[in-house]
Amino acid sequence: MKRSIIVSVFSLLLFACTEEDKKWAFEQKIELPEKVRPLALAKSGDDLWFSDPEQFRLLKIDLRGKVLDSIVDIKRPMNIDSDKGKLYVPEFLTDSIWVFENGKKSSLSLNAEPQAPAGLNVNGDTIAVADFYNHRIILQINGQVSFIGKEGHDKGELYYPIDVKIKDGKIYVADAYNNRVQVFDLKGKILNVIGKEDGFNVASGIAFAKEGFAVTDQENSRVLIYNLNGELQQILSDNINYPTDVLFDENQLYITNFKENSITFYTLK
Amino acid sequence: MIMAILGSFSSKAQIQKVDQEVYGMDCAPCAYGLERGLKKMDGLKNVRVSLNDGKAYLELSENNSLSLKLIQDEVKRNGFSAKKAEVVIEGKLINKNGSFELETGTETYSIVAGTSDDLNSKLKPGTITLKGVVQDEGDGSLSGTWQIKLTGIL
Repeated sequence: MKRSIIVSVFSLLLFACTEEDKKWAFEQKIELPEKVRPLALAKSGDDLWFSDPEQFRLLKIDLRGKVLDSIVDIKRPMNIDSDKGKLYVPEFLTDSIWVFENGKKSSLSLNAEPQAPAGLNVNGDTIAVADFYNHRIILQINGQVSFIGKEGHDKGELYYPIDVKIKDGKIYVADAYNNRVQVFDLKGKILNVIGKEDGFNVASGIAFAKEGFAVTDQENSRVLIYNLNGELQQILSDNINYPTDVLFDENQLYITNFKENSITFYTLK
Repeated sequence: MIMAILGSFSSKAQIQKVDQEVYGMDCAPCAYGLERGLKKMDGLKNVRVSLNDGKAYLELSENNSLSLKLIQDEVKRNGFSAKKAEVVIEGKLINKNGSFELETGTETYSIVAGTSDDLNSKLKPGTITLKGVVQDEGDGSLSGTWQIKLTGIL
Protein backbone atom coordinates (compact mmCIF):
# COMPACT_ATOMS: atom_id res chain seq x y z
CA MET A 1 0.00 0.00 0.00
CA LYS A 2 2.72 2.41 1.03
CA ARG A 3 4.69 1.50 -2.07
CA SER A 4 1.75 2.16 -4.38
CA ILE A 5 1.18 5.56 -2.76
CA ILE A 6 4.83 6.47 -3.31
CA VAL A 7 4.68 5.34 -6.94
CA SER A 8 1.50 7.35 -7.52
CA VAL A 9 2.96 10.52 -5.97
CA PHE A 10 6.13 10.13 -8.02
CA SER A 11 4.15 9.67 -11.22
CA LEU A 12 2.06 12.75 -10.49
CA LEU A 13 5.19 14.83 -9.95
CA LEU A 14 6.75 13.53 -13.13
CA PHE A 15 3.74 14.35 -15.30
CA ALA A 16 3.26 17.71 -13.63
CA CYS A 17 6.14 19.07 -15.73
CA THR A 18 4.52 21.51 -18.15
CA GLU A 19 5.64 22.82 -21.50
CA GLU A 20 6.78 25.93 -19.64
CA ASP A 21 9.39 23.89 -17.78
CA LYS A 22 10.91 22.61 -21.00
CA LYS A 23 14.02 24.28 -22.33
CA TRP A 24 15.74 24.29 -25.70
CA ALA A 25 18.86 22.12 -25.71
CA PHE A 26 21.50 21.63 -28.37
CA GLU A 27 20.92 18.42 -30.30
CA GLN A 28 23.13 18.27 -33.36
CA LYS A 29 24.91 20.11 -36.11
CA ILE A 30 24.05 19.38 -39.73
CA GLU A 31 27.28 19.64 -41.73
CA LEU A 32 26.87 21.10 -45.20
CA PRO A 33 29.11 20.95 -48.28
CA GLU A 34 32.30 22.96 -48.09
CA LYS A 35 32.12 26.68 -48.96
CA VAL A 36 28.35 26.78 -48.39
CA ARG A 37 27.16 29.78 -46.40
CA PRO A 38 23.59 29.10 -45.22
CA LEU A 39 21.76 32.39 -44.83
CA ALA A 40 18.05 31.57 -44.42
CA LEU A 41 15.74 28.58 -44.08
CA ALA A 42 12.37 27.39 -45.34
CA LYS A 43 10.63 24.08 -44.75
CA SER A 44 9.72 21.74 -47.56
CA GLY A 45 7.92 18.65 -46.28
CA ASP A 46 10.49 16.76 -44.22
CA ASP A 47 13.38 18.57 -45.88
CA LEU A 48 14.91 22.02 -45.65
CA TRP A 49 15.64 24.65 -48.28
CA PHE A 50 18.27 27.24 -47.48
CA SER A 51 19.63 30.21 -49.37
CA ASP A 52 23.35 30.29 -50.15
CA PRO A 53 23.89 33.80 -51.53
CA GLU A 54 27.68 33.35 -51.77
CA GLN A 55 27.11 30.72 -54.44
CA PHE A 56 24.04 32.39 -56.01
CA ARG A 57 21.76 29.46 -55.23
CA LEU A 58 19.35 27.65 -52.96
CA LEU A 59 19.97 24.11 -51.77
CA LYS A 60 17.48 21.56 -50.50
CA ILE A 61 18.84 19.12 -47.94
CA ASP A 62 17.61 16.27 -45.79
CA LEU A 63 18.26 16.36 -42.07
CA ARG A 64 21.57 14.60 -42.50
CA GLY A 65 22.81 17.38 -44.76
CA LYS A 66 22.55 15.45 -47.99
CA VAL A 67 21.83 17.75 -50.91
CA LEU A 68 18.59 16.75 -52.64
CA ASP A 69 17.96 19.60 -55.04
CA SER A 70 19.17 23.05 -56.00
CA ILE A 71 18.00 26.28 -57.60
CA VAL A 72 20.87 28.16 -59.21
CA ASP A 73 21.55 31.56 -60.81
CA ILE A 74 19.76 33.54 -58.15
CA LYS A 75 21.50 36.89 -57.77
CA ARG A 76 22.03 36.83 -54.01
CA PRO A 77 18.99 35.06 -52.53
CA MET A 78 18.21 36.36 -49.06
CA ASN A 79 15.64 35.41 -46.37
CA ILE A 80 13.37 32.94 -48.14
CA ASP A 81 9.88 31.77 -47.18
CA SER A 82 7.51 28.94 -48.03
CA ASP A 83 3.73 28.86 -48.05
CA LYS A 84 1.38 26.18 -49.39
CA GLY A 85 4.02 24.39 -51.41
CA LYS A 86 5.53 27.52 -52.93
CA LEU A 87 9.01 28.81 -52.26
CA TYR A 88 9.50 32.60 -52.19
CA VAL A 89 12.96 33.98 -52.88
CA PRO A 90 13.97 37.64 -52.59
CA GLU A 91 16.79 38.41 -55.03
CA PHE A 92 18.85 41.14 -53.41
CA LEU A 93 20.75 42.38 -56.45
CA THR A 94 17.78 42.79 -58.79
CA ASP A 95 15.04 43.87 -56.35
CA SER A 96 12.97 40.93 -57.56
CA ILE A 97 11.05 38.28 -55.64
CA TRP A 98 10.72 34.91 -57.29
CA VAL A 99 8.15 32.17 -56.70
CA PHE A 100 9.10 28.55 -57.30
CA GLU A 101 6.42 25.88 -57.54
CA ASN A 102 6.69 22.42 -59.08
CA GLY A 103 9.97 23.34 -60.75
CA LYS A 104 8.58 26.50 -62.35
CA LYS A 105 9.72 30.04 -61.65
CA SER A 106 7.52 33.11 -61.72
CA SER A 107 7.66 36.64 -60.42
CA LEU A 108 5.77 37.55 -57.26
CA SER A 109 3.04 40.01 -58.00
CA LEU A 110 3.93 42.89 -55.70
CA ASN A 111 2.44 46.33 -56.28
CA ALA A 112 5.45 48.18 -54.91
CA GLU A 113 9.15 48.22 -55.72
CA PRO A 114 11.52 47.26 -52.95
CA GLN A 115 15.09 48.45 -52.93
CA ALA A 116 17.02 45.32 -51.99
CA PRO A 117 14.40 42.94 -50.57
CA ALA A 118 16.04 41.18 -47.63
CA GLY A 119 13.21 38.97 -46.39
CA LEU A 120 9.53 38.27 -46.72
CA ASN A 121 6.60 36.33 -45.27
CA VAL A 122 3.66 35.10 -47.27
CA ASN A 123 0.45 34.06 -45.57
CA GLY A 124 -2.23 33.45 -48.20
CA ASP A 125 -3.16 36.83 -49.66
CA THR A 126 -1.03 38.73 -47.16
CA ILE A 127 2.58 39.47 -48.08
CA ALA A 128 5.11 41.38 -46.01
CA VAL A 129 8.51 42.31 -47.46
CA ALA A 130 11.51 43.70 -45.56
CA ASP A 131 12.57 46.53 -47.88
CA PHE A 132 16.19 46.90 -46.72
CA TYR A 133 17.40 50.14 -48.28
CA ASN A 134 14.02 51.86 -47.92
CA HIS A 135 13.94 51.04 -44.20
CA ARG A 136 10.34 49.90 -44.36
CA ILE A 137 8.01 46.96 -44.65
CA ILE A 138 5.89 46.61 -47.77
CA LEU A 139 2.56 45.09 -46.73
CA GLN A 140 0.25 43.80 -49.44
CA ILE A 141 -3.18 42.42 -48.49
CA ASN A 142 -5.34 41.19 -51.36
CA GLY A 143 -3.34 43.33 -53.72
CA GLN A 144 -3.63 46.53 -51.67
CA VAL A 145 -0.25 47.94 -50.67
CA SER A 146 0.71 49.95 -47.62
CA PHE A 147 4.05 50.75 -46.03
CA ILE A 148 5.14 50.33 -42.44
CA GLY A 149 8.00 52.30 -40.92
CA LYS A 150 10.49 54.81 -42.22
CA GLU A 151 14.22 55.32 -41.73
CA GLY A 152 15.14 56.14 -38.17
CA HIS A 153 15.88 54.94 -34.68
CA ASP A 154 12.81 56.04 -32.78
CA LYS A 155 9.91 53.82 -31.83
CA GLY A 156 8.07 52.82 -34.99
CA GLU A 157 11.04 53.64 -37.23
CA LEU A 158 13.24 51.06 -38.87
CA TYR A 159 16.93 50.87 -39.75
CA TYR A 160 17.84 48.27 -42.34
CA PRO A 161 15.18 45.67 -41.56
CA ILE A 162 16.23 42.19 -42.63
CA ASP A 163 13.32 39.89 -41.79
CA VAL A 164 9.58 40.05 -41.20
CA LYS A 165 6.89 37.64 -39.98
CA ILE A 166 3.10 37.87 -39.88
CA LYS A 167 1.51 36.30 -36.81
CA ASP A 168 -2.06 36.59 -35.55
CA GLY A 169 -2.71 39.82 -37.42
CA LYS A 170 0.54 41.45 -36.31
CA ILE A 171 3.74 42.23 -38.17
CA TYR A 172 6.99 41.34 -36.42
CA VAL A 173 10.03 43.06 -37.89
CA ALA A 174 13.67 42.11 -37.36
CA ASP A 175 14.77 45.75 -37.10
CA ALA A 176 18.34 44.60 -37.60
CA TYR A 177 20.49 47.67 -37.14
CA ASN A 178 18.30 49.15 -34.42
CA ASN A 179 19.09 45.91 -32.58
CA ARG A 180 15.49 45.08 -31.74
CA VAL A 181 12.24 43.58 -32.91
CA GLN A 182 9.27 45.82 -33.48
CA VAL A 183 5.65 44.71 -33.62
CA PHE A 184 3.04 46.55 -35.69
CA ASP A 185 -0.63 46.02 -36.44
CA LEU A 186 -1.81 45.69 -40.02
CA LYS A 187 -2.42 49.41 -40.21
CA GLY A 188 1.19 50.15 -39.28
CA LYS A 189 0.58 51.21 -35.70
CA ILE A 190 3.48 50.31 -33.42
CA LEU A 191 2.40 47.86 -30.73
CA ASN A 192 5.60 46.75 -29.05
CA VAL A 193 9.36 47.07 -29.10
CA ILE A 194 11.18 43.91 -28.02
CA GLY A 195 14.78 43.24 -27.11
CA LYS A 196 16.00 46.74 -26.24
CA GLU A 197 17.41 45.53 -22.93
CA ASP A 198 18.66 42.20 -24.23
CA GLY A 199 21.93 43.31 -25.79
CA PHE A 200 21.20 42.56 -29.42
CA ASN A 201 23.86 43.26 -32.01
CA VAL A 202 22.00 42.93 -35.32
CA ALA A 203 18.64 41.23 -34.93
CA SER A 204 18.51 39.54 -38.30
CA GLY A 205 16.00 36.64 -38.35
CA ILE A 206 12.66 35.76 -36.74
CA ALA A 207 10.68 32.53 -36.58
CA PHE A 208 7.50 31.58 -34.73
CA ALA A 209 6.53 28.51 -32.76
CA LYS A 210 3.13 27.95 -31.17
CA GLU A 211 4.01 29.59 -27.87
CA GLY A 212 6.58 32.15 -28.85
CA PHE A 213 9.30 33.17 -31.24
CA ALA A 214 13.05 33.13 -31.75
CA VAL A 215 15.28 35.97 -32.90
CA THR A 216 18.85 35.68 -34.15
CA ASP A 217 21.41 37.93 -32.46
CA GLN A 218 23.81 37.76 -35.37
CA GLU A 219 27.01 39.46 -34.19
CA ASN A 220 26.79 37.95 -30.69
CA SER A 221 26.22 34.42 -32.04
CA ARG A 222 23.09 33.92 -29.95
CA VAL A 223 19.45 33.09 -30.47
CA LEU A 224 16.91 34.62 -28.07
CA ILE A 225 13.62 32.90 -27.30
CA TYR A 226 10.57 35.00 -26.36
CA ASN A 227 6.99 34.21 -25.42
CA LEU A 228 4.17 35.84 -27.37
CA ASN A 229 4.18 38.78 -24.93
CA GLY A 230 7.77 39.55 -25.90
CA GLU A 231 9.19 38.35 -22.56
CA LEU A 232 12.60 36.74 -22.79
CA GLN A 233 12.50 33.05 -21.95
CA GLN A 234 15.88 31.65 -22.90
CA ILE A 235 19.17 32.57 -24.57
CA LEU A 236 20.86 29.96 -26.78
CA SER A 237 24.54 30.10 -27.64
CA ASP A 238 25.96 26.56 -27.79
CA ASN A 239 27.25 25.64 -31.23
CA ILE A 240 25.91 28.81 -32.78
CA ASN A 241 28.17 30.82 -35.09
CA TYR A 242 26.85 34.06 -36.59
CA PRO A 243 23.20 33.02 -36.87
CA THR A 244 21.27 34.72 -39.64
CA ASP A 245 17.98 32.82 -39.55
CA VAL A 246 15.92 30.40 -37.48
CA LEU A 247 13.11 27.95 -38.26
CA PHE A 248 10.81 26.00 -35.95
CA ASP A 249 9.48 22.59 -36.81
CA GLU A 250 7.36 21.30 -33.91
CA ASN A 251 9.85 20.61 -31.11
CA GLN A 252 12.89 21.36 -33.21
CA LEU A 253 14.61 24.66 -33.87
CA TYR A 254 17.00 25.08 -36.80
CA ILE A 255 19.63 27.82 -36.81
CA THR A 256 21.87 28.84 -39.71
CA ASN A 257 25.55 29.30 -38.92
CA PHE A 258 26.45 31.81 -41.63
CA LYS A 259 30.15 31.89 -40.82
CA GLU A 260 30.51 28.16 -41.19
CA ASN A 261 28.96 25.53 -43.38
CA SER A 262 26.48 24.10 -40.91
CA ILE A 263 22.99 24.30 -39.49
CA THR A 264 22.54 23.75 -35.78
CA PHE A 265 19.44 22.23 -34.35
CA TYR A 266 18.03 22.32 -30.88
CA THR A 267 15.19 20.30 -29.40
CA LEU A 268 12.74 21.21 -26.68
CA LYS A 269 13.37 19.02 -23.62
CA MET B 1 49.31 64.33 -89.37
CA ILE B 2 51.19 61.02 -89.18
CA MET B 3 51.91 61.64 -85.51
CA ALA B 4 48.20 62.38 -84.91
CA ILE B 5 47.21 59.09 -86.60
CA LEU B 6 49.83 57.16 -84.66
CA GLY B 7 48.69 58.88 -81.50
CA SER B 8 45.09 57.88 -82.12
CA PHE B 9 46.07 54.21 -82.28
CA SER B 10 47.90 54.25 -78.97
CA SER B 11 45.94 52.37 -76.34
CA LYS B 12 44.44 54.37 -73.52
CA ALA B 13 46.07 53.83 -70.12
CA GLN B 14 43.64 52.09 -67.82
CA ILE B 15 43.01 49.54 -65.11
CA GLN B 16 41.78 46.24 -66.52
CA LYS B 17 41.25 44.14 -63.44
CA VAL B 18 41.14 44.63 -59.67
CA ASP B 19 40.92 42.00 -56.93
CA GLN B 20 40.31 44.29 -53.99
CA GLU B 21 40.63 43.08 -50.41
CA VAL B 22 37.79 44.47 -48.35
CA TYR B 23 37.93 44.49 -44.60
CA GLY B 24 34.71 44.09 -42.63
CA MET B 25 32.55 42.05 -45.00
CA ASP B 26 30.74 39.81 -42.54
CA CYS B 27 27.12 40.76 -42.92
CA ALA B 28 25.50 39.45 -46.11
CA PRO B 29 23.21 42.40 -47.00
CA CYS B 30 26.03 44.83 -46.23
CA ALA B 31 28.52 43.02 -48.49
CA TYR B 32 26.03 42.54 -51.30
CA GLY B 33 25.10 46.19 -50.88
CA LEU B 34 28.71 46.99 -51.74
CA GLU B 35 28.31 44.82 -54.82
CA ARG B 36 25.22 46.81 -55.80
CA GLY B 37 27.13 50.06 -55.32
CA LEU B 38 30.13 48.93 -57.35
CA LYS B 39 27.90 47.65 -60.17
CA LYS B 40 26.54 51.16 -60.63
CA MET B 41 29.97 52.59 -61.43
CA ASP B 42 30.58 53.39 -65.09
CA GLY B 43 33.31 51.35 -66.68
CA LEU B 44 32.77 48.00 -64.97
CA LYS B 45 32.15 44.86 -67.00
CA ASN B 46 31.72 42.48 -64.09
CA VAL B 47 31.67 42.73 -60.30
CA ARG B 48 31.42 40.07 -57.67
CA VAL B 49 32.11 40.18 -53.93
CA SER B 50 33.08 37.11 -52.00
CA LEU B 51 32.57 36.92 -48.25
CA ASN B 52 34.56 33.71 -48.20
CA ASP B 53 37.56 35.43 -49.79
CA GLY B 54 37.00 38.88 -48.25
CA LYS B 55 37.42 40.42 -51.69
CA ALA B 56 35.63 42.30 -54.42
CA TYR B 57 36.53 41.05 -57.90
CA LEU B 58 36.20 43.66 -60.62
CA GLU B 59 36.66 43.33 -64.39
CA LEU B 60 36.76 46.69 -66.07
CA SER B 61 35.48 47.55 -69.52
CA GLU B 62 37.69 48.63 -72.38
CA ASN B 63 38.31 52.36 -72.44
CA ASN B 64 37.08 52.81 -68.89
CA SER B 65 38.09 55.88 -67.00
CA LEU B 66 38.01 54.37 -63.55
CA SER B 67 40.82 54.78 -61.06
CA LEU B 68 41.79 52.67 -58.09
CA LYS B 69 41.02 55.67 -55.90
CA LEU B 70 37.44 55.83 -57.20
CA ILE B 71 36.97 52.13 -56.53
CA GLN B 72 38.39 52.35 -53.04
CA ASP B 73 36.31 55.47 -52.36
CA GLU B 74 33.20 53.43 -53.21
CA VAL B 75 34.29 50.68 -50.84
CA LYS B 76 34.76 53.25 -48.11
CA ARG B 77 31.42 54.90 -48.90
CA ASN B 78 29.71 51.58 -48.26
CA GLY B 79 31.21 51.37 -44.79
CA PHE B 80 34.15 49.05 -45.45
CA SER B 81 37.93 49.40 -45.52
CA ALA B 82 39.81 48.75 -48.74
CA LYS B 83 43.04 46.91 -48.13
CA LYS B 84 45.60 45.72 -50.67
CA ALA B 85 44.58 45.14 -54.27
CA GLU B 86 45.87 42.88 -57.02
CA VAL B 87 45.63 44.79 -60.25
CA VAL B 88 46.24 44.51 -63.96
CA ILE B 89 47.00 47.91 -65.42
CA GLU B 90 47.95 49.20 -68.82
CA GLY B 91 49.88 52.42 -68.67
CA LYS B 92 52.97 54.36 -69.61
CA LEU B 93 56.12 53.21 -67.86
CA ILE B 94 58.62 55.96 -67.21
CA ASN B 95 62.02 55.87 -65.60
CA LYS B 96 62.22 58.44 -62.89
CA ASN B 97 65.64 58.86 -61.31
CA GLY B 98 66.42 55.17 -61.68
CA SER B 99 63.04 53.93 -60.48
CA PHE B 100 60.10 53.01 -62.65
CA GLU B 101 56.65 54.50 -62.40
CA LEU B 102 53.52 53.47 -64.28
CA GLU B 103 51.26 56.33 -65.21
CA THR B 104 47.63 56.03 -66.29
CA GLY B 105 46.91 59.69 -66.69
CA THR B 106 44.92 59.87 -63.48
CA GLU B 107 47.14 57.81 -61.16
CA THR B 108 50.77 56.91 -60.63
CA TYR B 109 52.06 53.51 -59.52
CA SER B 110 55.65 53.39 -58.25
CA ILE B 111 57.35 50.04 -58.69
CA VAL B 112 58.70 49.16 -55.27
CA ALA B 113 61.56 47.10 -53.98
CA GLY B 114 60.39 43.53 -53.58
CA THR B 115 59.64 43.18 -57.26
CA SER B 116 61.79 40.31 -58.51
CA ASP B 117 65.08 41.09 -60.25
CA ASP B 118 63.88 39.07 -63.21
CA LEU B 119 60.84 41.32 -63.67
CA ASN B 120 62.81 44.47 -62.98
CA SER B 121 65.27 43.58 -65.69
CA LYS B 122 62.45 43.40 -68.26
CA LEU B 123 61.07 46.85 -67.57
CA LYS B 124 61.56 49.40 -70.33
CA PRO B 125 59.96 52.81 -70.76
CA GLY B 126 56.86 52.80 -72.93
CA THR B 127 53.34 51.41 -72.95
CA ILE B 128 53.08 48.25 -70.94
CA THR B 129 50.55 46.05 -69.14
CA LEU B 130 51.59 45.04 -65.67
CA LYS B 131 50.20 42.84 -62.95
CA GLY B 132 50.99 43.48 -59.32
CA VAL B 133 49.90 44.04 -55.75
CA VAL B 134 49.15 47.57 -54.68
CA GLN B 135 50.08 48.23 -51.09
CA ASP B 136 47.35 49.10 -48.65
CA GLU B 137 46.90 52.82 -48.11
CA GLY B 138 45.04 54.10 -45.06
CA ASP B 139 41.46 54.95 -45.93
CA GLY B 140 42.12 58.59 -45.21
CA SER B 141 45.08 58.66 -47.56
CA LEU B 142 43.62 57.76 -50.93
CA SER B 143 45.68 60.16 -53.02
CA GLY B 144 45.94 58.41 -56.38
CA THR B 145 49.64 57.76 -55.91
CA TRP B 146 50.33 54.13 -55.20
CA GLN B 147 53.14 51.68 -54.62
CA ILE B 148 53.00 48.43 -56.53
CA LYS B 149 54.98 45.23 -56.23
CA LEU B 150 55.00 43.60 -59.64
CA THR B 151 54.06 39.97 -60.10
CA GLY B 152 54.00 39.85 -63.89
CA ILE B 153 54.36 41.62 -67.22
CA LEU B 154 51.53 40.79 -69.65
